[in-house]
Amino acid sequence: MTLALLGAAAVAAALGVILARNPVHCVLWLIAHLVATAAIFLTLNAEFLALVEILVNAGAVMVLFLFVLSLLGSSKEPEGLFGRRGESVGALVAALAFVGAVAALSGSSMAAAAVPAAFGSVQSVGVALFGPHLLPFELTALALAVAVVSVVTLAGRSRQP
Amino acid sequence: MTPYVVLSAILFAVGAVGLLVRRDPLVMIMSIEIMWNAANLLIVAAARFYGTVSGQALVFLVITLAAADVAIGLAIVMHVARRGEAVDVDALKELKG
Repeated sequence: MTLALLGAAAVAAALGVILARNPVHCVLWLIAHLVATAAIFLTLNAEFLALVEILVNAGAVMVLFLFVLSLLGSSKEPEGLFGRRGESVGALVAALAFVGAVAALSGSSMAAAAVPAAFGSVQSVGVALFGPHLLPFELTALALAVAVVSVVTLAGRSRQP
Repeated sequence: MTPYVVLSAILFAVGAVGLLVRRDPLVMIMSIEIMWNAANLLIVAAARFYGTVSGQALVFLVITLAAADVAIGLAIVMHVARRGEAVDVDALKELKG
């Protein structure tokens, strides 16, 4: 029941993102979607990830979106909400992806495994992250450094004549 | 686990529709964010149902990479806008700097 309510909220907010005309409204709908997703994470014993989802995604990344929107000014969709590529093609592709994903994955009607009480806490995730998964963690840090350099290069380019 | 799989697939399909039919690149990046989140939801559900915490460590890394992805996308949008061109993916035909 809880999952039905939260899932309906998440799907409704996602539909709001792709249907709202004003990009600022899209950002606000996306924040609602992320909060609903964080609540779903809580139902899956992932307290740390729920907090990260709200702090990093709904906090920092959405503020980044709003900064870019305020720098660009209000960009109204010039000639209709949708592009020339046709929404029927997009709807068909998405329906095929949905059916394929459900058909491929929903055969596993497994029950939830028994987990200890500390499952999903900061300590357990940290032990997994800095123990057996240290190399992916370091590679992620490298990817972040590459992203910082590329963003500085792209955004600082216009100072040059 | 099936309800979580179906919910994740619905969210992924919604994000795919937004990516394919919208023309504002900012809204396209937000649709990609919805698709990242659908994948994260599936991984967290799998971690819970298999009883291993490694999936949650993976989702932490995925959230980090999604933030880097969004930052690069927004920097490209800013760069295009500063060149005085219309921020419209149908009008952008070349990638020459």
